[in-house]
Amino acid sequence: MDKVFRIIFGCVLLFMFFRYLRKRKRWEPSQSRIVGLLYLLTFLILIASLFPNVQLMPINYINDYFSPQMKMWVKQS
Amino acid sequence: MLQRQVINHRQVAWLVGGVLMTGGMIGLYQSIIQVAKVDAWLFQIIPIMYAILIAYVLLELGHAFPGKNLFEILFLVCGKWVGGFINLILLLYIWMILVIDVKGLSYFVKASLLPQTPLEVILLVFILLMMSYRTLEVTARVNEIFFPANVISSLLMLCLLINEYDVQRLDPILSTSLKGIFFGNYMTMGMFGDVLLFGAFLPMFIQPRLFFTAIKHGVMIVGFATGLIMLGLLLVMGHSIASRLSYPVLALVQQIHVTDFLDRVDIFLLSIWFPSFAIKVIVAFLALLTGIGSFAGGTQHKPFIPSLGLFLIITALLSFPQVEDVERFVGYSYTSVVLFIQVPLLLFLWIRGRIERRRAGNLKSDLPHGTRYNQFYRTMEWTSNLSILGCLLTALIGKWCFEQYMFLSQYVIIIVVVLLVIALVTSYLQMQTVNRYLHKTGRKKIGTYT
Repeated sequence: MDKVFRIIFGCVLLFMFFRYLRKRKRWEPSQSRIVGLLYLLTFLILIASLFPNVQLMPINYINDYFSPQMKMWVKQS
Repeated sequence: MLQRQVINHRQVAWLVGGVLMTGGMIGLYQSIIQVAKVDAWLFQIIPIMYAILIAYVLLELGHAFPGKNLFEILFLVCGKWVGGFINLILLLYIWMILVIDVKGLSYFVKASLLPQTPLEVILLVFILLMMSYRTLEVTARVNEIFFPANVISSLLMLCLLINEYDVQRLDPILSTSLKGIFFGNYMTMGMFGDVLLFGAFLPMFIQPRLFFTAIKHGVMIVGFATGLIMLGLLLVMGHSIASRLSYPVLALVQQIHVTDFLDRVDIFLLSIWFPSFAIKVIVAFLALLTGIGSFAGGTQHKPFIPSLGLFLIITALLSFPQVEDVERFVGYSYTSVVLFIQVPLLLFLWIRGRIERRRAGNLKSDLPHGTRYNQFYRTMEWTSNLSILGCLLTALIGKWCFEQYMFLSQYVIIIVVVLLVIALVTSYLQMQTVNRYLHKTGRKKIGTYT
């Protein structure tokens, strides 16, 4: 991911999070909790993406381990 | 919020068409051709059956739990914790669809239209577009413009390529092993399994039977149209070239050479295809919003949109670092993941739906027995189902006869295409019969769940 994009994305995330803090009292508590959890997850993933060797996405795991096995099995049979 | 919206049967059929048709155009065709080679044109027969089975389970759920969506049904049937866990898996599945499509489409746009634009910017714009759609009703109306345009442009493309066809590129027809043909079908089942997304919008479809027939018709449109596209792809390029390309359909469009001055026809077609691609992602996004909304127990989905959009941007950017990863995942892993999630879930929901209907004494048919509507509906239902089954049997018999009577294999293509046309027409008539009956009896009113 591009560095400039990462900075812009971080700023947008912070802005949206502060907007959420202001607005959340008007929402139902369960809604507010879920939105907060989504922001927290996004923030954690953004932080983790700073470490290039960390494999974050479960899709990439499946793709790296399962797809080649499946491909080999299909081609053999 | 979703309960107040209503979309009609034609919009449902075309939405299903839009969702399924665009799903495989980016990363699936080349993988199917690698496996099924010259017989890749038979790739959609088992998936059609699978998609109809999903629609049947949704029909049962529509009858058994009127006014409830798939997530609410799971909460109702399995309780707060187990239901919540299954719903979480479903949300992860929808998130996976979104990430595949958003990333795949961004790579596609970068390769075909905007090679100098950073991928992040394409993805950002695309997700902003997705976030601007807040109801399925609006999406269905937009799709009413672009889906017919997509189908017509695809058929027009096949007509404009007529000077490029070489029948010898299909030879020897049915020479691929039965396992190869089966794996081609298996790879496509994940794409057709996306019909389950419509379970999130069950309350919007007032009449479950009409909803079922509309989904079936949509599936048949896709089965027919994608079959023709695949046949065109093999006739123009042959399996050896098509299996090596990243975007074979784009390369197919670029082969159109009608006159010297009519160049870059792909730009016109891409301008029609891009909104159609976007429709699928929007439907998946709305399904995800509905799922998350069901956890909050509320009907208002607006507060989730910005946070979910940001979450999708970062996860999509970090998934599939190379374009080949998307192709590999869609081709070899996606169906396994989809079947792992969907098959037990559908079986469980079907059984629970039947039990619930029996308990409520709600097992009677939607169309009363003995009426001409019922007779005509049953005839069309049998004809379409037998036509689909006939496609499978024709392919199997053709394959069986291949060694002894090779000349028969060329007739297999003609028979399969004719059977697909019959299934398409009869599925349309099936849908129209239910619609006319509901209009006649005055049951097609907003808010009446029967």
